[in-house]
Amino acid sequence: MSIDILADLRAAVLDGEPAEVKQMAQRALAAGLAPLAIVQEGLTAGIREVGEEFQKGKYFLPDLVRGAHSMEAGLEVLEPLLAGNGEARASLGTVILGTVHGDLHSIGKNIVGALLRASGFEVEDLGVNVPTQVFVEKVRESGAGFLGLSALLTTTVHQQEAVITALEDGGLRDRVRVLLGGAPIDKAWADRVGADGYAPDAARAVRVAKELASAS
Amino acid sequence: MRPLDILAGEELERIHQATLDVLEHTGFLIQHAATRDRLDGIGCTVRGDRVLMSADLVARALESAPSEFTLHGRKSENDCPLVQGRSYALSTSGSPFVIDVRTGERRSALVGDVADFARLVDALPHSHMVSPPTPKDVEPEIVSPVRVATMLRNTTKPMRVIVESGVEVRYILQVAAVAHGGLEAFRARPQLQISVSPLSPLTLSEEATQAIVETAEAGVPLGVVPAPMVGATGPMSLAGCLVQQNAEVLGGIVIAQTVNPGTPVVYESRLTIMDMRSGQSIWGNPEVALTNAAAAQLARYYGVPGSVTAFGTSAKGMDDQNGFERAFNLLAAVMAGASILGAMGAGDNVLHTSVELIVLDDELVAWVDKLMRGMRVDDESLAVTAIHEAVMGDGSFLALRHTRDFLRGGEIWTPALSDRLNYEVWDQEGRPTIQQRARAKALELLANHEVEPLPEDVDREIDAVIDDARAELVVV
Ligand code: B12
Repeated sequence: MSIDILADLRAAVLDGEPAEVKQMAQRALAAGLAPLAIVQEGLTAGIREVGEEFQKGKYFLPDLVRGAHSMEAGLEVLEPLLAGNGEARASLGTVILGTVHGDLHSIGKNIVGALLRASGFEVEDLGVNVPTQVFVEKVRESGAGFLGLSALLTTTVHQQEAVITALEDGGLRDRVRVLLGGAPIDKAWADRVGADGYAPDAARAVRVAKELASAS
Repeated sequence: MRPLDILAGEELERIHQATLDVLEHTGFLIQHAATRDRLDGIGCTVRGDRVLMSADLVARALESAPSEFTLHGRKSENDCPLVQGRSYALSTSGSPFVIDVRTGERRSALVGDVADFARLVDALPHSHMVSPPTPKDVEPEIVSPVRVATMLRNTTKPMRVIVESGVEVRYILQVAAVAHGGLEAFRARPQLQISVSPLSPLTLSEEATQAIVETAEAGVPLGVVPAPMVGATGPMSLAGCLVQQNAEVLGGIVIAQTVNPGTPVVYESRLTIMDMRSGQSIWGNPEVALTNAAAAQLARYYGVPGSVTAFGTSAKGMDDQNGFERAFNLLAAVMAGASILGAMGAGDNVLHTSVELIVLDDELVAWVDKLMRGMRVDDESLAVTAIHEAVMGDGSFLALRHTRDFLRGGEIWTPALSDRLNYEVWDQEGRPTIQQRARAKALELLANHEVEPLPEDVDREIDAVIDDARAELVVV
């Protein structure tokens, strides 16, 4: 019976149905399953399958985003309980993500965020038009291992450099791996401004983040 | 030729009604308090940052927007009267990269490229308007005034620039005023259209709203240019995404007409499709051709000039995909009666521009232009006499006066670049490709085409305006 609930939960994440996932998470708790087990064998396993289906080319971006939302809906119920038990779910690390100051392009960043979530990272999305100082403060207080900066405009790419410089000035550069992305960004730019990684699309962003995670 | 109606009358009406529904019940998120207040004052319902616009208000705005106006050249021979039945080709805007004509490699766009594209468009007979790439070798805060100054110096044709804020508009207008001998003179013969993007879905940032307001206050031609992506920032259904984009354009027009009734406006469609695997914004597909044609039809319906991306392609290199995507897109746009055909010279979903592509597109425009002129049908062209003459004679038309007259009269288009050689000659000449010819022509024009320079004092004054802009805007 409890096995079935977890299988159903995985299937609901795979189907991308947030409301259902939430209900099932509650049912699983009511059935006496441990929160950590529900997260890991239900939600995380489900979202990993979503990621795999996407890599296989069977799933498309909307499936991915709905999968990520479903997982979040489940976590809303379960995470407070984990914290209460002094537990944490297994995670590859936390990524602070945002589009740099002066830039309102959000779509690419959102996709990168969704795929990172679906691949086992935690993502804290600061939105668009994020001032340099806000990135720096977030790095300072959160202890996140990764910072992802999106920039789509020739006129805003230098803000990525500004954030890296500000991190250096604040003595925080060693704390995070900085990833850069956005249409006008290339490897040469990322190297020049001293980023740790660059990716031209979301799937590669995950690959780079994973490589950096395992290297550290 | 009569423009093609891609939407049936009833379909068009339903899109229009759905648009009014959206504007009236969902409204436009306008992050600019003064504009919200202004709209509140004329009968809009304001709910927080959301402004609900009535059908009546939209109708009045469309009423006061001129149905025809002219984007002027420095010389009147380059004027582009935006009237029904005429289409003008516009070089692509904003691309961060160019394909370097000397190396064939992709690199960041520079101010020199803005000048090159402007000069090339100036030189080419079927290229009518210039838009600039985004150069990397200039301070970001003043990139717009620098682009406008560079275009003014390097073309005598009309131009378009997309801006993000009111401050930019102010400096751009100063530059333009200097070049034209005062703001009044510029307003009387505007050589520039200024475009502003709403943020889909249905949002206008504070800066973008200011840019609309300042452009309208100056009475300068304004383009409203949303870029919703089907399935990402707009509905997954094509009709739905058109409805949303339509609401975004009409909302922008309402603001402009409220600020300054009679402001000339252009209805600009930049609706694209998101590739649901890579997330790329796709510009070369049949859906974009379809929605462009529908948008052009909507613009005609509203009686304002319509502008679409007529040369979109997702191809990176110079291959068959590049050719057929551009050609089909252009054909759909022209047949649907779009006034302005944007994205000339663009590749890779408008992420790069190349001079070769601009030269090739000039040829494409000539091709389509010939198509759209249709054929002459009258006594002479029906050629009953000529047929009789030939049949009674040696069976050949080559020697007939009728043949010579019609040939001289332009019955048949002569391409500038396309290959019409026979196989043997083509083979002996080393199997030349159209890309090689386009490249050679681009290099030749860039080396030799001269644009009459602006008077020296004007040139200095433009520099002074740019210096002011730098002093005020650039943070050191
Ligand atoms: C949609 C769009 C808009 C929308 C944005 C809506 C929104 N909510 O985001 C609107 C209409 C508002 C807009 C406005 C503007 N835009 Co715009 N826009 C685009 C467009 C068509 C698509 C961008 C997009 O979403 N692509 C799809 C996503 C999925 O791709 P992506 O962002 O590249 O992201 C992928 C990768 O880059 C990477 N990635 C992205 N971020 C990150 C982060 C990290 C950490 C990593 C590792 C990877 C990564 O992974 C993503 C997924 O695969 C592009 C053209 C194009 N072909 O890209 C122009 C484009 C980016 N815009 C451009 C311009 C100029 C502007 C404007 C200045 C003027 C204008 N209207 O054109 C304003 C600026 C507003 C502002 N201050 O930000 C130019 C930029 C040129 C340049 N050199 O700067 C482009 C290239 C178009 C052009 N040729 O003019 N735009």
